[in-house]
Amino acid sequence: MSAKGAYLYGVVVAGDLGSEALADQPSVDGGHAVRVVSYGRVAAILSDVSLDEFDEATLPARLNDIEWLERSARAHEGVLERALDAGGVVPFRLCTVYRSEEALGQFVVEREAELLRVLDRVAGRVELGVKGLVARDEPEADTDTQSGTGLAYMQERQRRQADARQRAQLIRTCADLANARFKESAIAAAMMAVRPPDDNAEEAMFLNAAYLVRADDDAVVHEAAALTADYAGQGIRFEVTGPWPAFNFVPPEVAS
Amino acid sequence: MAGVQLRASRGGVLSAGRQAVLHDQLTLVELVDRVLNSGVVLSGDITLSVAGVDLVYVGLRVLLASVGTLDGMAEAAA
Repeated sequence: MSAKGAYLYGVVVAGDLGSEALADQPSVDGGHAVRVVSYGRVAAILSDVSLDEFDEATLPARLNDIEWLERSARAHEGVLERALDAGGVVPFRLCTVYRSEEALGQFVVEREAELLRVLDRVAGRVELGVKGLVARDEPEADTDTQSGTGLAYMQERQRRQADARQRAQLIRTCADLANARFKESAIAAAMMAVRPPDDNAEEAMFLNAAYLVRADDDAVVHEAAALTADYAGQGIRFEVTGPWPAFNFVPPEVAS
Repeated sequence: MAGVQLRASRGGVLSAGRQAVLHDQLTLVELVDRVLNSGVVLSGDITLSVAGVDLVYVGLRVLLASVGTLDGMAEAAA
């Protein structure tokens, strides 16, 4: 039997969530049960994992294995969603593994005050993701390969460059306006990296934002629908995802 | 209209007009983006974390390629 480590999903306020609420929730390895262990005023959501499976040397390969990644990510998120519904959770990143349950417990005990501060910030709140997407132009004929060197060719090229500049400006303005409107109803906002489109994608992302909102506040959803209607003629739409645990509103490292 | 993908359990606005499979794949991309790139990453005596992994070349890129294909299928079917 291989050595066991302790996989940490997230931290909740002690008493908010019991192990029984997670009894039917798959764990990241599909085997060991997900448990809630209290340490003073906070509690850790954890499960045992084999250190053979969750090993540094093989981690990149596992993350590139789509089936493994999907199973682990969905299990990780499934656990966090139960905690989110129970009142609030400090989400930890996928594959946060301690060498033992004792080491995990020691961390939680040492950082109790800071964890409570973060929990207070996210309690009763959720993260909503908003993406701004714009239809990509049909690829135009590659005029560079044609033998056009005359005036008409130059004019056509200048026209296209002007169109592209105008379109880029429109999208920047739209992104700024949308972000300002979403922020009005949000408690906090975070910008995530815009993912570049695949060659064959029909839309390009120009806004990838996250907003922290009260769990019962759907103003961002309505705003996204209104903006999508306003900009339909420009091939622009906004897509809302969530509610997520407050992934983008917790510090990357919890200090003691 | 806005392609909203909220979880049904929270009520209010539900997914509209999109195939379930596409919905799942898009949500998976959003999910992987979050669980790998945000959340608490470095804390205490950790034996394993994604902090040291070069995530640029990990999973998400492959996922996005599959979504691009699915997106095209859904548009064609709509």
